[in-house]
Amino acid sequence: MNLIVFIGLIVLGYLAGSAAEKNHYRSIEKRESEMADLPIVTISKLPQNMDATNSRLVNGSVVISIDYFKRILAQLINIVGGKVISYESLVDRARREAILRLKEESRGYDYIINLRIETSTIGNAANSKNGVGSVEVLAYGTAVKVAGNETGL
Amino acid sequence: MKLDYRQPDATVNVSKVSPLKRAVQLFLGLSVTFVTIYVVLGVLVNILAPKIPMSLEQKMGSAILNEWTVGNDNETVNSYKDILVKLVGEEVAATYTIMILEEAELNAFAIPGNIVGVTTGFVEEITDEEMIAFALGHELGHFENRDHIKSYGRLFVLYTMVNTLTGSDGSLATAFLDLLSKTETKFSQVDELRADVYGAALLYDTYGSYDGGIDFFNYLSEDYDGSHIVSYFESHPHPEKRVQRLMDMTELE
Repeated sequence: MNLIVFIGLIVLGYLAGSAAEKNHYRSIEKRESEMADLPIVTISKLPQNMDATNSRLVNGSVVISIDYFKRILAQLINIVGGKVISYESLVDRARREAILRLKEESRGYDYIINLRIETSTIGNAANSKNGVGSVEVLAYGTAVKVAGNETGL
Repeated sequence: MKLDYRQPDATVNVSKVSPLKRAVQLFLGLSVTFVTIYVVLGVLVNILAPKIPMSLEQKMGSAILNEWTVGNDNETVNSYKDILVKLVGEEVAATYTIMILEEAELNAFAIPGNIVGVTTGFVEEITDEEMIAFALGHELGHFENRDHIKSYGRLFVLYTMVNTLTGSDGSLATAFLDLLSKTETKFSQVDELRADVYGAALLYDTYGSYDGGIDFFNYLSEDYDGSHIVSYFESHPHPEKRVQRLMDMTELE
């Protein structure tokens, strides 16, 4: 009986998780190209020839959970070692989504500088040795409005 | 400094390996590995477990009995002892202890330390002397073959393996435990059939027929598919198979 429930959850997780991931990637790629005109960099200071007329702290965060199938795949990989491929797309999606949200919060500004990214696990599995339940990615930086809005830093 | 914008490349941080293919490979590979290790360890336990000293066996028995409430139905215990004396004689019967365990489910166990545990469910439902004699003889068969020690040894190996490799609280542990339990069932079904033969032989020597065993399994068959007795058979062969075996023995006689 346990085995039937287990297999049922895996199939459900795989189908639902794959569909959700595909949709999310489609949305991410579309919004990334729409917001390509807002530069985002990791340098902490503007070059001397640029004057900031306005600036503010901006952040974008997202929490994404993996599906049951990927959770089990990660546990299997934990036994034999190797790349935990089931977490790779989770972290990739979360990081890109957090940056997109950061950009959405920075509309009306010319640049985002001093970009930093933090990652943590949250939810019931956060303190469990069995691994990641949900991953939170927080992206933060400084949105600046530049006098004259030159085309590059 | 000129900014050069480029779309993130999704192939850099995410491996292009099919997760489904990888999961199937890993699950099948690990299942074969676990079952092979378990079968090898199970055979080793079967060889080594019977060699443990009686003092250790008695300690194991005490630990197991701590999980049960032992009844004080001395009248039943004495009547069962009388049947045991008929089966194996006074001297051998004296080496065994009979205990009534408070449990509604019909069951009987061979507990380490030469203890025959019989549930109150058994006492209430099985009243025919020859049926009781067969059940007691069956448990003596487990003692004779040291099945009780082998079985606990294999379970110990099973839980240790699964918990060590997958973590005791994971869903994966449950799946592998289920898989290995099926292997354990195969081990224990062989033990059960062998104990049946032993019990049947004692029954025939004492009462001149196998009727007690046949009646016992026929009684259990009636409830096999839909009652509290089902769980009794999780590690046991189907009663009809066991009846057939006794019928075959009758014909041979």
